[in-house]
Amino acid sequence: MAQERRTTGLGRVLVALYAVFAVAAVSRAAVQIATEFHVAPVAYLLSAFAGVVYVLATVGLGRSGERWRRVAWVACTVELVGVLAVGTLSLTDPAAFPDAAVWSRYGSGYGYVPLVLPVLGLVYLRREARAARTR
Amino acid sequence: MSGLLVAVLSLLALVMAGWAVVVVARDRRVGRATLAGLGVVELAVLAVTVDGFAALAGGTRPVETATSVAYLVVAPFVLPAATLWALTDRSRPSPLVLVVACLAVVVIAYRAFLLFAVTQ
Repeated sequence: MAQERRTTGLGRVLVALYAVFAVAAVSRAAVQIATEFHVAPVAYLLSAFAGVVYVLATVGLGRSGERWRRVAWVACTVELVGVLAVGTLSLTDPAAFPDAAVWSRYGSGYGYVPLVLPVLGLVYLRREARAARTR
Repeated sequence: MSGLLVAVLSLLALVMAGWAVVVVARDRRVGRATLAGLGVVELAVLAVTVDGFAALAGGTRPVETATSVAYLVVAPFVLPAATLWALTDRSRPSPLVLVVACLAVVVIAYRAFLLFAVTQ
């Protein structure tokens, strides 16, 4: 395995963005589930799930090494699929989402960052994987 | 919660975000001047936090009280965390972490402001 190397440079900016979203999504879901779970259980559970995925992506991108890169890769992919699926569902079947989740309407409530973030993450991981191969 | 205070904080944070971009563009690292600037923004964050808690103590009850308190509690930690990060990583783009943090602070303050506007 390649030598342990901490994520530096632009990768760190990405990790910082992910960290913000991890904190935001987890705390928001925690509050919603604790105080008003009955209002929109699907949306809130989804937010909680999204939060966990963001945490995994944050840690995965922040650590180096093959295993963490794979964790980050899976997390980013799940995120991209999630934001696309939930985004589409929230537009075609709004009744299922009475209250907004992080991924509702392709993350428009969060300036579409939830849509852009996994793409950036995957691009970064691809670049890292290439760099690791040539090292 | 004071809208003026939130506006001042947002302005300061945006200036600081621009500053961080300039630091990266000129291939500099986070220095004393940048730290002083961050200190000023952090003071504004603390002012907003104190203002929010004062409003809560004064009887203002936002509909989403728990969320509002969470925003106020998290806000003061964002900039110190990012600063530490930018200082420990000496690579060229590391000050961009400060841009993320400054924008996050603006969003947090604005969201808290909106939450406090809807009271029970």
